[in-house]
Amino acid sequence: MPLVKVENLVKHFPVRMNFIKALFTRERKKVHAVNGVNFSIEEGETLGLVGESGSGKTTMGRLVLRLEEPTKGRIFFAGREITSLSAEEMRRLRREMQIIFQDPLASLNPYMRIGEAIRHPLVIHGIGENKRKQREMVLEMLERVNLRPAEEFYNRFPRQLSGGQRQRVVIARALITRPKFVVADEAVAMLDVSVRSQLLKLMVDLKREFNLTYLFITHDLATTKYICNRIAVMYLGRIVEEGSFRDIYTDPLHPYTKALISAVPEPDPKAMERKKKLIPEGEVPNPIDPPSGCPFHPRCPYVKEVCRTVPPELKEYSGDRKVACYLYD
Amino acid sequence: MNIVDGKEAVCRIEDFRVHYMTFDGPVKAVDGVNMEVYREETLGLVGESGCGKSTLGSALLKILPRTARMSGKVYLEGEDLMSKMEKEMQKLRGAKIAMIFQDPMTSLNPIMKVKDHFTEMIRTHKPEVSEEQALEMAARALEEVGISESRLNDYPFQFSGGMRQRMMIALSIVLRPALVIADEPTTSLDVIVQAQILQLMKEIQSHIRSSMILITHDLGVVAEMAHRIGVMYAGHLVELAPRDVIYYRPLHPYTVALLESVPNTDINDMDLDYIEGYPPSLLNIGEGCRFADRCPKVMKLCRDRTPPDVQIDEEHIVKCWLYADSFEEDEDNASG
Ligand SMILES: Nc1ncnc2c1ncn2[C@@H]1O[C@H](COP(=O)(O)OP(=O)(O)O)[C@@H](O)[C@H]1O
Ligand SMILES: Nc1ncnc2c1ncn2[C@@H]1O[C@H](COP(=O)(O)OP(=O)(O)O)[C@@H](O)[C@H]1O
Ligand code: SF4
Ligand SMILES: [Mg+2]
Ligand SMILES: [Mg+2]
Repeated sequence: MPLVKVENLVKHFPVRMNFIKALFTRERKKVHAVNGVNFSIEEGETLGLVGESGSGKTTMGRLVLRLEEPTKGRIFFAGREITSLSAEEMRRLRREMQIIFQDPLASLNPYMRIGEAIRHPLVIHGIGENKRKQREMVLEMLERVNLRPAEEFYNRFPRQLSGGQRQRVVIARALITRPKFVVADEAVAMLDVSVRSQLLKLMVDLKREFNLTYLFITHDLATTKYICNRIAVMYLGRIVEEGSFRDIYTDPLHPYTKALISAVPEPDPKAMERKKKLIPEGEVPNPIDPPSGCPFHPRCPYVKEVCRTVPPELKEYSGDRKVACYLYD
Repeated sequence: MNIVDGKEAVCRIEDFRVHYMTFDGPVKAVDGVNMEVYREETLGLVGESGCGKSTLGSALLKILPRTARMSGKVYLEGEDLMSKMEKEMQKLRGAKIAMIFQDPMTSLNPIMKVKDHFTEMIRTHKPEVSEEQALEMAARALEEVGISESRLNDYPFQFSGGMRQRMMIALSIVLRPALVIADEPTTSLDVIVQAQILQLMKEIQSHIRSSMILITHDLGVVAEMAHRIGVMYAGHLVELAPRDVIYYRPLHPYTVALLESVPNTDINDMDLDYIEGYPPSLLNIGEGCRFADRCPKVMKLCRDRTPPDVQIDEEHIVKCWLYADSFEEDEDNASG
């Protein structure tokens, strides 16, 4: 039984419009942020969700945690459907499902000492008998994420920390309730290379130690190699391909995945020169008016008639590989 | 202009420093940089955020805030930029030396049409050019970057991120400057659009034969674009060499560690290396190698004295005591 599963998930947002314009527009336009997504994540597994900005990754992560209400579809956690749990029931479940955001500065209260910020979830969920016990738990966690001496870090404020240290705080706060499932939304994206790798290593180690299951959201394909068991590639609100890093990277199936991979700049001149460039023209269409049929068809070099009308389903290709493209029917 | 080993240096930077004066003391953002940019080459300047890349780039155009104190020499096609007054610099900017920023909107006027950006730029530098001729030049420059001339009447905000950067490139090259400084030109773009823009920049550069300093934190982007690469760390240029030397035979311990810690896509290399610690604060930073606290090969000397720029061979310079055997007794060089 997968720990997390979503079925036909759809999320449409009303287009942000100014008041005057809204008065005169009959048609209610919608942003098609997520357009019928299915996936499941086994316990202890990490699923990477990659794609360019605007492809719906963040919305997807928020839907899974029900920080956002789906327009359609169902969400399961540990075998139980949570799509329509009440706010109170969700609140109780939250200690088991946490999220780490991209920008630690935005997700930390600047006036709260970091020790207190990490202790806060314990208070909310009533974990630990008393303040002293909670404090001990926080200190232990600070040690674990390498913010040492822990006593000293406990009393610091976010602005007194570097970007990497702040992200360690955010990780500590997410893990203090011992969740089973963590959504990491561009968790290391803002950090510089040397620090990014430190944090990635920490997340890999913590996963093993705490037996975590991750949904690892990133626009940077290369980072998924170290942490993800499987990768799902998103384009305009849909998963177009799913497979292991090895398969996706060495033998991409979907024309969009091929383009994406050929566009990644390699930090190695020889590897770069070997690489075939298949850069499509144009940019990602507006999700307010997504193309009919396959979302990639207007830019696809292999487009067929059927691609323009009916969206291809994400189907099994072989073993654990899936692709949504008529070329593989 | 001086010619080094058959290579002509368009720009020469000597013992160049930029210190930002703050309440708490100087932030030594660029501290003793020596380098040359050859004609028609792309020099990649890489390093993590805060290491002084943008400060150095903007200093070459002298567009830093008032709190920045500059010292040292910068020559552009033989002209000494540091001794130039603001009026004279205005004549050079756009004409001889141009800049492309990460976010074009910061340097574009949102209420000016695209064509007005071009005509203003062209006619400030070339008053003899008529309005009509200027528009023609603008149309041609846009065509070079793949934008239809019908968009001359649009405003910058009507463009997508990628198109806006194309337009910025067109604007920066319309007067055929000798040196273009591109500061993280593709950092806020998605990877496919980035690939399009990088391709375009390559084509344009070989077409107009300008030199370029490409500033980026992305080791993939410089691998793709640069002929030579300078690696910056905490205000120092720690290594400078041809591209392949940097990637396959790096010498500076920081360059080595940086390349090991960058996630690559080689499926046979699953080790994730990283550098312990963080770069130092540049506020009031003193003598010594700035990488010393994180360096696996640190020696006592490294902490006490700033390493010199050691010339390994004609094209390879490393700022590190490990390679400076002949310098140890030489007090004069040791403070450089
Ligand atoms: N609250 C919202 N209201 C309206 N549109 C939104 C909202 N949140 C996200 N979107 C839109 O939904 C699309 C998907 O966004 P997002 O999930 O943030 O993508 P990603 O994380 O892949 O960049 C984008 O077009 C975005 O502008
Ligand atoms: N106006 C300023 N006043 C004080 N310090 C500054 C100012 N601008 C930049 N700095 C500092 O100078 C250093 C170099 O910054 P910058 O040139 O922007 O680096 P990079 O472009 O490599 O990220 C950083 O430590 C930064 O905080
Ligand atoms: S000078 Fe010393 S500390 Fe600095 S990089 Fe070289 S060996 Fe390391
Ligand atoms: Mg996002
Ligand atoms: Mg910068």
